[in-house]
Amino acid sequence: MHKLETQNITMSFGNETIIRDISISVDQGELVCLLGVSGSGKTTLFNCISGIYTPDSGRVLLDGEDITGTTGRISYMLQKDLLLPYKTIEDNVALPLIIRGASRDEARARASEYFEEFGLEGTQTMYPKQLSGGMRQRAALLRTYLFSDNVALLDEPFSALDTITKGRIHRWYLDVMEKINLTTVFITHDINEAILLSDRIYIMTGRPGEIKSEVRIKTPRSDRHGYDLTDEFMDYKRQIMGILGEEKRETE
Amino acid sequence: MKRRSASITNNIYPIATLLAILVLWECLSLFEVVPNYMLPSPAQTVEAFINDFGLLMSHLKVTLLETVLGTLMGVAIGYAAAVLMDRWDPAYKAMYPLIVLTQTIPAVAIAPLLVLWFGYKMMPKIILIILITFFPIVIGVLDGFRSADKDAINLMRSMGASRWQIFRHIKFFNALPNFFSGLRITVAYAVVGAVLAEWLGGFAGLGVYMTRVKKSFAYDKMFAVIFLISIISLILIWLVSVLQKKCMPWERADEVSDRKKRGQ
Repeated sequence: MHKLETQNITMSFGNETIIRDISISVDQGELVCLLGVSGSGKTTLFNCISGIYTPDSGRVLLDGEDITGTTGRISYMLQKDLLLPYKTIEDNVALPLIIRGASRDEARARASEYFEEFGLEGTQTMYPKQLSGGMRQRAALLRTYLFSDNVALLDEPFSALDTITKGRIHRWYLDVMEKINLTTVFITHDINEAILLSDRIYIMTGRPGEIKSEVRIKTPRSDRHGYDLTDEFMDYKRQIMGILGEEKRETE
Repeated sequence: MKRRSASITNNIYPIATLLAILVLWECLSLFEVVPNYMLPSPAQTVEAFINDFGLLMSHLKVTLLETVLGTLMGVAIGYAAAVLMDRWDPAYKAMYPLIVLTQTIPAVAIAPLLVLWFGYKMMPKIILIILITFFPIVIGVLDGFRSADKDAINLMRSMGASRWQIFRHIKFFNALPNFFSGLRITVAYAVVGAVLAEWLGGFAGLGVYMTRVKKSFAYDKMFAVIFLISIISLILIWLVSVLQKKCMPWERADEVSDRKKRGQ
C-alpha cells in the first residue's frame, strides 16, 4: 500500500478544467517531485490533496484511507514562508500543535525538541523579521513537520531564495530529510532542484494539467553531494527537457 | 543613540515655534495691544490654572469618567459589530452603508437632542461618546479583518483550523494596528465630545465649568480649561501609544542585520 495516493483526480473551476485524471503515488519516506511549468495546475492538485478543495472526481488516499476533502491530515507548506509576523518563531512553529488542541506550554515544549535538528537553535524568542530568508524557510519547514509527520506537501518551498542560499538550503534539506524521514511531495519548476532533491519526478504539463511522464532518479539521495555536476545528472536533465520540449512542440 | 538624538533635533522645531508664539502672545498682552480682559496673557492663564486647580480637578474627574466609560463601551460595541460583519456577510451588506451614512450627521447636531432625551446627567454624554468612538473602530477593525492574508488563512485551514482559531491567530492580530490607530483618533475626539455635551447642560464636568467661567467673563480661566483639555487629550493619546507598544512587542524587534543575512 502506498503512503499517499491520488486516484484520477479531476478539478475544474467554472467551465475550465484545471487538472485532469491525475493519479500519483508516494511511498513511505519517499521524496517525490511534481515538475511543471507555471499554470499546469500543480498548486490546484496540492489544494485537493490537502483537503482545501474537494475535487470534482477522484479520491485521495492516505494509508489506504479515503481522506478526500478532509483538512488537517496532510501538512502543507507554501512558497511564501507565511510565518506570522506577530508570533515568535517558537509560537509560529508550534501553531499546528495548538490548533490541534495542545496547550501553549505543551506545544512549545514539543517544538523545542526539533530546533537543533533544523538548525534553528537560539531563534525561539525571535520574530520572523529578525531571521534571514533561508532561516525562515527552515522554520516554515519545521512547522510543516510538526503539523504532521505523515506526508508534507511543499509548494515551491525554495523558489523565493537567491541562488547561493538555495544551494545551501538544498544540502541542508537533504540532510534533514535523511534524519526525520518525512514523506514529501514538492512542487518546483526548477529542473535542477527536481533532480537533485527527489527520488521520483512526475512531470506535469498542459492545460488542463496532466501527468505526462515519470522519471526515477537512480542515485540514492544520500549520495547526492556534488551530484549536479555529474554526467548522470545531465542525462536526466536532457531527458526531462526533452519531455517538456515535446509538449511545447505539440501545443505550437 | 543616534535615533534618540535625531528625535530631539526633530522636536526642537515645534517646541521653538511654540515658545515663540507664547512670547509673542505674552508681549501682546503686556503692551496691551489686545485688551487684557479679552486675551489674558500666558502667565495669567497659568495663574488661573493654579488658583483653580482643585475645582478644575473635580470637574475633570467627571469628564474623564464619561470619556473612559463612553470610549470603552464604544470600542466594545464597534469591535463586536466588526466581528459580526466579518463573520456574517448579510450583516455586512445591511450595516456597512448605513454606518458610513451616519457619519454625515455631525455630532454637534445630535448632542442637543441627546440632552433633551436623556437629561442632564452622564447618560447623554456617554451616548455621544459611544457614537463618536464607534465609527473609527468599526471601520478600521473590519478592514483589518478583511485584509488578512488569504494564503495564511488557507494554510490555517489546511491545518484543520476552525473559524474561531483563524480569527484568534490571524484576523485578530491583523486588525490590531488598525484598532490602535482608530483608538488614538477616538480618545481625542471623545474628550471633545464629552465637553461638547456638557456645554449643553449638566451638573459637573469641564464643559460645565467652561460655560460658567464664560458667563462670568473670566477669560483667564477659560484659557486654563482649554489648556487642561488639550493636555488631557495628549495624555490619552500617549497612553494609547504606550498600550500599543505593550500589546505589539514584535513591532519593536529589530530587522535582521546585514551581517546575519550574509552569514546564513
